[in-house]
Amino acid sequence: MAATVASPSVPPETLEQFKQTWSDAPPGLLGMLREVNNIPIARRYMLTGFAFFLAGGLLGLLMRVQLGTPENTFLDAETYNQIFTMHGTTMMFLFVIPFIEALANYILPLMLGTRDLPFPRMTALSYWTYLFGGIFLYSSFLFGMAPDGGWFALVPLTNIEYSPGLNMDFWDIGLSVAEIAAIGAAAEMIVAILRARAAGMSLNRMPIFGWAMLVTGAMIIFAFTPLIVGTAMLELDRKGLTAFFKPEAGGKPLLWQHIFWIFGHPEVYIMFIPAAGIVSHVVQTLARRPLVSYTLMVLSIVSIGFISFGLWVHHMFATGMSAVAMGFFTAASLAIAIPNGIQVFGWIATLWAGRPVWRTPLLFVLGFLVIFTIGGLTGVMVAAVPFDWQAHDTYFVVAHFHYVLIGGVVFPLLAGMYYWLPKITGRLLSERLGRWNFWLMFVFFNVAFFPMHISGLLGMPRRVYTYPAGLGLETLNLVSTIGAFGFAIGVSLFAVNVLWSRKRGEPAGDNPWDSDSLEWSETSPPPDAQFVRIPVVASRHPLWEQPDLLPHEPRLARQLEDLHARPARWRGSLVVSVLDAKPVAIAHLPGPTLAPFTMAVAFLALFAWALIEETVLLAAGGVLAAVAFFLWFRPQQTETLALEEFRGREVDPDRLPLAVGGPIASGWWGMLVFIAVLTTALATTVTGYFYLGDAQGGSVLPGAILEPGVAMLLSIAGIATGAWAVRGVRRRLPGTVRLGLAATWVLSAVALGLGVHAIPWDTLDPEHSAYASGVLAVVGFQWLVVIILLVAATLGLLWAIGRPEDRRGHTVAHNVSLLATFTGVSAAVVFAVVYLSPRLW
Amino acid sequence: MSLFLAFLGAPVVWVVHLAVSYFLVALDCATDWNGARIAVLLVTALCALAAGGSGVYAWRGGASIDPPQVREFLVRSGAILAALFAGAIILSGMAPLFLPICS
Repeated sequence: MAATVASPSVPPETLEQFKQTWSDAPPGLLGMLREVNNIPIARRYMLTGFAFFLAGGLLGLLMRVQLGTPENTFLDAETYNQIFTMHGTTMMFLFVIPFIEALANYILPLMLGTRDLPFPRMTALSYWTYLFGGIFLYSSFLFGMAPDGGWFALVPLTNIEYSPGLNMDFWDIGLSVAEIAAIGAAAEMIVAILRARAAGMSLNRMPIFGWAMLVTGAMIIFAFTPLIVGTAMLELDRKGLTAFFKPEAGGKPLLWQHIFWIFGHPEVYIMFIPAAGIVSHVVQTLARRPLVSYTLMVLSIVSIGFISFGLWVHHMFATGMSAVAMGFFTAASLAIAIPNGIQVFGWIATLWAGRPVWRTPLLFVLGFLVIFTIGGLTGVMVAAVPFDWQAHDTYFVVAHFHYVLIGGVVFPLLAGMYYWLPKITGRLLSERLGRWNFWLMFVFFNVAFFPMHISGLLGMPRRVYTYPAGLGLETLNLVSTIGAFGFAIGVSLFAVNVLWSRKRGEPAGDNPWDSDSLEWSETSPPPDAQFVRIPVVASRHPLWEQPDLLPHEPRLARQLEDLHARPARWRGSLVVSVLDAKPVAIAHLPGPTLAPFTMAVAFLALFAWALIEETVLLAAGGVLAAVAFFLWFRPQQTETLALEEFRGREVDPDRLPLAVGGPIASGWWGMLVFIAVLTTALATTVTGYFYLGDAQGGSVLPGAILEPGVAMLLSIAGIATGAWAVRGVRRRLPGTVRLGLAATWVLSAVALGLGVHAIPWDTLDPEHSAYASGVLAVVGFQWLVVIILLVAATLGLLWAIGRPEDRRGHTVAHNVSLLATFTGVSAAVVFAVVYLSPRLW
Repeated sequence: MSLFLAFLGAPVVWVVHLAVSYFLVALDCATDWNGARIAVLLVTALCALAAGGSGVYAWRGGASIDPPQVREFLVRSGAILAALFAGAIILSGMAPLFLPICS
């Protein structure tokens, strides 16, 4: 089929300039730090993720050496605690999620037919933040203070009384950094999938991996946000400022378990759903036929996304809950087997009905099907409460989740690597090494982890650094250890294969697998300037079913001509409608900048300050954050150029306008995602407040209802003034915009002042009262939201005063209005929760 | 809104059912009120009807979506999701028939 090519109508110098504009390769270190293009960033992201995978694997091997024989003294208990904590933390937070996001950063824009992700600076910020978060966590080993309370950090073990060192502070703070990176990456994936697809790629034609990443992105928003709130609560408790989880002050350790597992269980599916997306592509391509029942496969992904949020209590069956409450979660835990089963049968049916080519990616899929199905079956077993009580906290559970996670995530990721690495490097991996790689991993995985089912059923508990001889556990553990080393050799063969193929692998060509999706229409490796010509999609399998990717409707052709090796002097990409992917605008994308790197360093300094409370770090972090903020939000020259080029476009129906100002801009959609994050955080703090309930050891805030009531009304009034500013934008009334924004600013500032003043600081004692801690969590969240609104309104005012006609300022005004709306609603909720609800009983 | 109702109505009702049922049981166990069994069954019936209703709405083409092939995909998906989640609601909501509320 015809690949996308520049038409002869584009002069060579324009094409050259276009490529130059998209190139992120200024030489030297500075150039590397300024890169924002998805391709180089995603490459680094994947390499870093793989390095953490090897580090986490090494920690796993150390554990297996220790457990290989009874009463072993290779590691002492404290070191073992640190190693098993960092093994789990690394694999969950520093390998799987970042690696999946990195792969998506690379492949998704290509697969969707777009030139880059909608927020390139966010791509870079996510990477740097993740890297620094990982280094921060691992630096704890240098001080002998690696986290030691488990990757789940259950309280009261991780309260300051029982974990007095900085170990769990490293975990708390380092994790927050990695979580911010994950949420940032999720936000831009959501916006990319909804708004940055190829022309004609309606939702029913979107590749399965696109659906998988859309659902995963949403799940990250709703699952990671509670964890950020929870880790903040834990850290405040550890600093002695609050008492959320301290029973002696009315706090409840089980609140932590609820918050952690409402993140922790969806997390399993956050890892599995993208893996399932990868499997669908590999199966479809190598079975040489379209996936059986695309619709059911999409619905399975959506269903899993929902049901996964109703399973968290099955991690808490042994905490003493009522039988019927556990019944609800058992039902959900069993129900999720239905969509999972649909997917498994879908893949089997596709292979059955196709003509499978048993290359290495498909072997890994086969391994995945076997191992994941076993993990799924033991999952159904532990979903049943009576069995769970027997197997809880034993090696049976360790075996179960390794079958699910290695079988359900690592095997598909390797299938994906064998499948997509030829696109990324331009070289095919060795088939022979690949087969050795697969069979060693498959066989030794089972040698390592299958015996753990038995050792668990024999009663071997998890998280023990050793066990006595004579319990019948020696052979099983020795076999597991041998298996772990064999598995490690299998994994290392993958690294060998990648290195070998860099020099000696066969050139891959554009489409070595004869695949159907758009990433295979670009060269291998793809250029930084992806899609010289924006592809047009008219099928679910464009490379199988379309003769070319060119526009055949005259109007569409005219609209897309402006993106044919253009814009040449700035980075532009297509924006489409959500459902049917009709072209609606051209987005300006920012070029190289130091802003993301500087912001990530600022985060690092601020989090280091949170760890050791050294004022210099706070000052440095503050200054760097201010510099990064300025670099990020100052007017960009290329955007000014874009605005000039597109002036007057709105009146020509055959030409696409520039995507600035209001819902047409990606920033507006980004703000919606940010509001989803804030809503989730609000829900978490409010639920926490009510969960702490009447055992809070406190009382209703004395008499303070007038001031907070007025503060709430002022915030609600901010909704109207924000909308007023937007009305001014629409009617081209700069004075109205200024007044609307100024009024929003003043109302918010006064609301903040009144809200803070209303708190009886002399009687409210969060250090010794869970009630006071709950109050401060809810109102503190509201203050934070108001501060963010104040910053946004200040930015909007600067634009409105300095450049009232500039449409970039109009985008900011729209976003301020959205944020003001959330702030008003949130103020009403907070007031009702903190000041009204206690008066109801 | 109509698109949301047709496509994601039933899953959202399932979330609401789980949250409300869990809350009712917690309330029963923490206070003198002892009506969780009946209340949960009632909520289950209502939620199953609501989820099923969103499926019927989807199937009858209640959502105005263009172009037709996208509409067909989304409403068919909505109907299937409604069936799945109505079943999941009933599965969860049956628990009070067989298990003690607080034990």
